[in-house]
Amino acid sequence: MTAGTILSVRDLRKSFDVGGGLLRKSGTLQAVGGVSFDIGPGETLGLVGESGCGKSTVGKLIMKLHHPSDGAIFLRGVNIAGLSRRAMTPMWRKVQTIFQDPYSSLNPRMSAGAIVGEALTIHRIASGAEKTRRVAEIFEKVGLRADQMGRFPHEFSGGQRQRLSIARALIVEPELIVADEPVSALDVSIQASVINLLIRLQKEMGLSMLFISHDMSVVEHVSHRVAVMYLGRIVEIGSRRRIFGDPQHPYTRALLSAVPVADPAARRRERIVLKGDVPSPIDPPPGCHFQTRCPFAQDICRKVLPDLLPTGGGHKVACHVRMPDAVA
Amino acid sequence: MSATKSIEAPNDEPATRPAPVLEVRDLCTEFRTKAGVGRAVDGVSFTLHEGEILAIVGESGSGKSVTSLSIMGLIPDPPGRIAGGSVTYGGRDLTRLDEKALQKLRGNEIAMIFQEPMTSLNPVLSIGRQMTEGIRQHTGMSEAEARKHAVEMMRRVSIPAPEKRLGEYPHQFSGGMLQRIMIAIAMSCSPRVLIADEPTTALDVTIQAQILELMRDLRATTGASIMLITHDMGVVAEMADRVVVMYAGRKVEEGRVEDIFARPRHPYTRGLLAALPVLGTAGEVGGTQLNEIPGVVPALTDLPNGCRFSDRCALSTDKCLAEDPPFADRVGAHSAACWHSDRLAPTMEATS
Repeated sequence: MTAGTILSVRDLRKSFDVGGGLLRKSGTLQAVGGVSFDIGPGETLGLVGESGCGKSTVGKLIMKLHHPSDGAIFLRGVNIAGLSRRAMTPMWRKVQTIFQDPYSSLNPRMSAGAIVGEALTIHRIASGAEKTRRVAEIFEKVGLRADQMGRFPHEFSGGQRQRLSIARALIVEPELIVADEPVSALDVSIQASVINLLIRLQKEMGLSMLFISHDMSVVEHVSHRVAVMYLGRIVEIGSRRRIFGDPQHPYTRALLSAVPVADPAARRRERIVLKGDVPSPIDPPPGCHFQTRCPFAQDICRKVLPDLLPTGGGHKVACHVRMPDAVA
Repeated sequence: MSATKSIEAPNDEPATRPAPVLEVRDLCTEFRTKAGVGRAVDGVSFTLHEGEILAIVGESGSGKSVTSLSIMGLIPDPPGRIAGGSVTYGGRDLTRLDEKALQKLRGNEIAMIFQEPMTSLNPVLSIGRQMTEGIRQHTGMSEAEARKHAVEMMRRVSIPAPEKRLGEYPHQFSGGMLQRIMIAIAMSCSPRVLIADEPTTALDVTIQAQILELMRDLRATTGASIMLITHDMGVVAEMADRVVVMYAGRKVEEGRVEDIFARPRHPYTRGLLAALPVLGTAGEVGGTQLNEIPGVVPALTDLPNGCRFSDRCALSTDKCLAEDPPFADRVGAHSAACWHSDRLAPTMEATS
């Protein structure tokens, strides 16, 4: 952790007991199995992976919506991993979240202005006319009109509701935003405007952001650095340029080559189509978690779990068989 | 390509066009709502040809799914009804067939797969039972023959140990495996037409790649025609031979996939393509802005006069606000419903 680091996550772990209900075997589901990363000031770290890889759990652990099983979460140098929810309250000024579904994350009985302004009261930042002024200001900032403050969530479109969620998160001037699939529920034409807004506000306010998404194209567009997760672990992390331009982990390469490209001329590109499904996180395979689907797996991969090791330039990869420069 | 509104097919079209399999003409489907009657599909026409993959693309509320449900006779009545038009298959108008005749066609000659495989399968019946039921109903095979055929179909969609898995239940399969099962069921009676409504939207991208490859293979080996309904321009680019773009219940553009992506003739199509972040093209963060389409899709019960896209369109003129642009149908060619198609710059790639 270097000075000025906003968020520093060290060996974060979370396991859930999976009940032995009807027809299901009981066990421990390791959703996050030792994840470490840093986010610097004004930096966006994209966290990508497929369903069940643990990316959303990482976000929830940082937001203290789940209690970590082990590991540390340093927010501006303070370890919040063990803090109770009450002790966390003052920390909510520093870290705020934006969820995927703007429909279910806004209280339908509160006006838009009250939803956005609530945190100002909770943190005793402003009240009365000053509060109204600040809410109006943030409304304009996210592309809503101040005269819409009296409206209720159902009177807004999906894109506008996500702007409301952004306003609610930003009004306390946090240092870090955890955005979990913030544009996944939106149509493409609306998604574009929310992405543009997030990037603009981040620059203006110098925000740090953890941007969790399954969409590689969106992550590439918004992130300075990117971490790729598979079955609860980071398999590769590095600059956006490195991850998208010269990925070293076979899973990153497969993930990238599986993304449908909106250009019919790209059909003839090289593609790695992975066989099979993601193994169950209750019963992960021995050795490297990716070995059951990896086209390059060797004996060692079936026995030893590879560490996430630096390759230079802040890039790290967890693979015994480092990829050659070009896909064979 | 010339911009004249000729009714002849241009020369670059293949001389022998594949035969039409399914023809949708002026389809209108209405729903009664509290706010009034909304036309979810309003005068849509297109043709699905032998062995082709036709993509119907649009955002929420464009009418693409209602179009596919109308073709299959699956519009719940009330509140919905087919208010006009025809769907011709094998010389018959499907909109005029009774439920019994439709049932004979569905799953047999025209099969369908949906977005959520989990909700399309019965959770308390084994996969084998659900697969053999349809096969026996449509082919008159015996139970043993149908099981053998089901195993063969499961093998074709690459399900490991099919004999064993036949006895298992839907919850024992992953989402990708269930979608394979749905495709196996859909293809088990060798349909001539497969209607796939967002078949990979609920799946992870590596599983999506497998399912798309499987659909391409099935088209190649069985010669089935596929109508692919999707919101994802990436999937369209990977799969389609031809594309129909829908907006607010209307067809706004139709053409070969290469033409649609390189030279869109409707501002909405062009806007959609420019709104997409494209993998491998990002510069510095914040360096390039994605194209925004201002506003929202109009409510079907409260449509603007003139062009339905006019209030969101940068090219909009007084004419657009006053007069609804007709679909400039150039037979077999690339056409759009826009007064200003010729003002659109030829390609998006030029800017990136």
